[in-house]
Amino acid sequence: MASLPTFNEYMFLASILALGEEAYGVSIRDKAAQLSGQKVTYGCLYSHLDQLHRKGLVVKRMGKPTLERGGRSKIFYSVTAAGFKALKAFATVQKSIGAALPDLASDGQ
Amino acid sequence: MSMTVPPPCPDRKEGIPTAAFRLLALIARTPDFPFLEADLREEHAFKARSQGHRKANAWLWRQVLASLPRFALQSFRWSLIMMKNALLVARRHLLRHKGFSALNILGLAGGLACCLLIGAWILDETSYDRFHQNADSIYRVESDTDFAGRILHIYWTPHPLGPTLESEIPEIAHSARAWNQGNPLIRYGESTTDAWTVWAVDPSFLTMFTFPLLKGDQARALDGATSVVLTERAARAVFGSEDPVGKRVEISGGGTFAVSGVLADIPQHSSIRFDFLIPYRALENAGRVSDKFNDNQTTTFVQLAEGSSAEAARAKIRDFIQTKIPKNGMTLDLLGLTRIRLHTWSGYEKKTAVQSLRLFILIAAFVLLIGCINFMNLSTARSALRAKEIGLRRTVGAGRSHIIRQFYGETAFYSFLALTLALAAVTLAFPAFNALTGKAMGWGTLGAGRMALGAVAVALVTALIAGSYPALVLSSFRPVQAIRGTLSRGGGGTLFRRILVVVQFALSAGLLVGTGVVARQMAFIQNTPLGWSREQVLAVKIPTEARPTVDFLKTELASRPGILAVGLSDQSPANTTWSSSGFGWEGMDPETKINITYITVDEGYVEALGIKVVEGRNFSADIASDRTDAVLVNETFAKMLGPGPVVGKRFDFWDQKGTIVGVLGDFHFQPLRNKIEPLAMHWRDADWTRFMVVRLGPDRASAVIAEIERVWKRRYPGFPLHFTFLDDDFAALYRTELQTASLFKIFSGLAGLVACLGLLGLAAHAAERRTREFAVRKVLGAPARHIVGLVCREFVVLIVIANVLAWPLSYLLMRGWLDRFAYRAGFTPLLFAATLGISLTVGLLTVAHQAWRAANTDPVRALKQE
Repeated sequence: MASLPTFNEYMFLASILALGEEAYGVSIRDKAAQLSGQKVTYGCLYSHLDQLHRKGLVVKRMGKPTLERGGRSKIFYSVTAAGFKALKAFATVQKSIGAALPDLASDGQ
Repeated sequence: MSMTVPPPCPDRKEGIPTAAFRLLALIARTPDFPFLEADLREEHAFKARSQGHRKANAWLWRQVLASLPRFALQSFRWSLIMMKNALLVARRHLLRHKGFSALNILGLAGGLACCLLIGAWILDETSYDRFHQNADSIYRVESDTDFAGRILHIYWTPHPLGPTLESEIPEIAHSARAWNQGNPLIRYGESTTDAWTVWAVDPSFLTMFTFPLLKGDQARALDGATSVVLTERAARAVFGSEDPVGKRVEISGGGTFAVSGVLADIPQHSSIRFDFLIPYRALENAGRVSDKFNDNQTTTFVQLAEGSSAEAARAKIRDFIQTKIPKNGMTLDLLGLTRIRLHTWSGYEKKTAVQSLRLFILIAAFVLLIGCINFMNLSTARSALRAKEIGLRRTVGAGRSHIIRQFYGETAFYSFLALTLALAAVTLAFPAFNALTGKAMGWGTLGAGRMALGAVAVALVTALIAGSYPALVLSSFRPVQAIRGTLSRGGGGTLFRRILVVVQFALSAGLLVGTGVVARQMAFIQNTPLGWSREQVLAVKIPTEARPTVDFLKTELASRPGILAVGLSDQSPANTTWSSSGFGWEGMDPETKINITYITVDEGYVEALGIKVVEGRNFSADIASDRTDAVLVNETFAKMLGPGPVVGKRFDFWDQKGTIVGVLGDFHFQPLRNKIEPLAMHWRDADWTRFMVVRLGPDRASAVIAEIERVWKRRYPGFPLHFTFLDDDFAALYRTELQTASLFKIFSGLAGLVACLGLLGLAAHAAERRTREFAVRKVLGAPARHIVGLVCREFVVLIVIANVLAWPLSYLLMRGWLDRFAYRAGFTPLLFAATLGISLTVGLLTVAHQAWRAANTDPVRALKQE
């Protein structure tokens, strides 16, 4: 089994997957913040995107330059097959760990 | 991957804080940086529209600042990855161009080794006297006396000074006097020895300084007037395995003492060295301690009160002597204990050991610089080979800073390889270097940690200097040109390389001239007529006990065959230093302040040393009054005595009346560092005798010495005979200079070697680069010697220019050293000509082989290769 992604990697992978065709820097960051309920800095975002890319969990593709972005193009991310497996592995582990615990999430509510 | 990035819109109008982006660019190492920037711009634009510019800017800054730590961490990881790659490439280069790499590394290693050796030496010299717990608050009292505008500096002080300072100046908490008694005869039971140095000190000496007692009470060991403490080494030699405490020894000139303590042996890095300590009180009781404030005999150490500044104490003691003896003209100063080793000087001109230390720091820097220049030269010369690699790196996205870092990394790699070699070389060289400098240095004694830290620091500095030019030049290549190979090869780079070669050779020629200057000065010292003859003259030390009967010894020896003359004196003829201002003469201006060196001799001294009498006569045994009131002066003094014939003038020594009976030709009674000062000689009874000077005949020296030994043994049984040849004594005065001369030879040799390594590399490169040009020339009929000439000419011009530049350089380097000498050989055009000759010969020999190979390459092969 491939080694598990870290939590942050998992978070960004999930965000990219959720965004589908529209996953680029700004949207990924928004999505990750929304999903995790935490603040996400660009430093965190880009260092993890680099890492995911190096591990072959995501691929990049160039978009068209837009005026809004100072004339720069967007770079879109999408999850690879390996990335999908990693996501799944993490989710499985999370589920099995969660099952071993008392129902923490509902306690507080 | 190729991507075209359209030019960004003008930022000012949009009001985006570009500084934030620049800051981010500095730290963020992500390959997608442009997109990161674009993301930020997009969100900034959105926020600016919805919340206003100010908030958008604040948001951007917060984002950037919050992102920095993460990026910094990542950047570090990236640089490690890049460094790994750079090291890999560096290693490949090293292995592919073994010859050049070896030259590079050897050159650097040579420079580093010099630096490390000199560094070790400096570390050793500067670590003296720091082991004392009170090292920072102990000072030695020194004095300056004005003699008609000339300031005489000495570190001897009057006996009552220490105790008076301690009681009258609140800033001074403690004082300890230390009076060196020389090596008196020490008797224990039946055995006698004069191998140990005895100091008379105040009891506070043991509590101020950190010389711990192994046995005995540190605070009270010297309280009794007949106590003595001695070092463990001396105790073992004198008492063997017996317990020394309580044993009684007789010390000549002091009396009988009982051992009250044993000191740990004195650390190597102590400038205060003694074997026996006796209480000052013993000499006071014996009536040998003058209570006058104008008798400078002892050394006074003071310890400042806690919280007192040295400046305040200096200001208070400056005119202290004035308060005891008005109009004395003597001022006091303090020298810190830890400065004694390097800043001690006495005389009219300041000459300290730190000057030659500075000289060698300069030399170390020179040699290291030469090694660095080698590196720069060789790597830029080979730059064309790296152009394609760099072009490729830049094309795939390496920024200029990447290339710069790559080359710095590579240089660091080389310089640490060189450091390893240098460390090995230094370790091997330590014993020889120690023998030369008379030290006991090693990694252990210097503190391996400090040395390692220093070594790494030097290696890093080297990498920084040596890597600077290659990094900047190579990183400036335009990728396209670099890959196409259309890079201009000549131009600025070549000129700069030539300048570097000139600098390098100027530095080594400067060192070579320096070596010549030192060698010439040493030869000058050896060959200068001293006004007395030092060959075949023995100086026999006369112990105190032998003084009353020394006249009989003298008479007995004088009659022996093979002995031409015998004389007595109270100071070593090679270095006569006692001086006083207590003189007066007929017609002397009462305002005259003059310090006169005086020496007490007998009637045989002038003849035994071969000093010329230019006017009047020598002392005569036939004239009874000569023993009490005749005076001889030297020519320098005679000129100061005013008009009228010198011989016959009345001359007073303190309160004794006398008459000048003769004038002696000027002779060097001190090292050639010092000018010949006015000198007066008088004749007194033999009680003051400390040396007997014996002039031997031209042959049978060993038989005569055996005869002297026999006579001595019969007359003074139990007293060892100590004698030296005056030419050895004379040579010993220049020990440090001889050391400097040897070190100079070694370091300038190394510098020359390193410079030649660089030259060899450059010549090889030049020959290689022009292989085809030479082949075409040969095809067109040029003889081999033309081609050799072509290669050599370039370097000859550079070496000549370098030599011309070396003139002022060596002058700057050597002026300080030569200033030590009042009498000096100085510079001569011949020296520069010789240096030019040597550097040309060595340079051409280095280049010639390469040139010869270039000239003899088969033109067909050279032209065919493509």
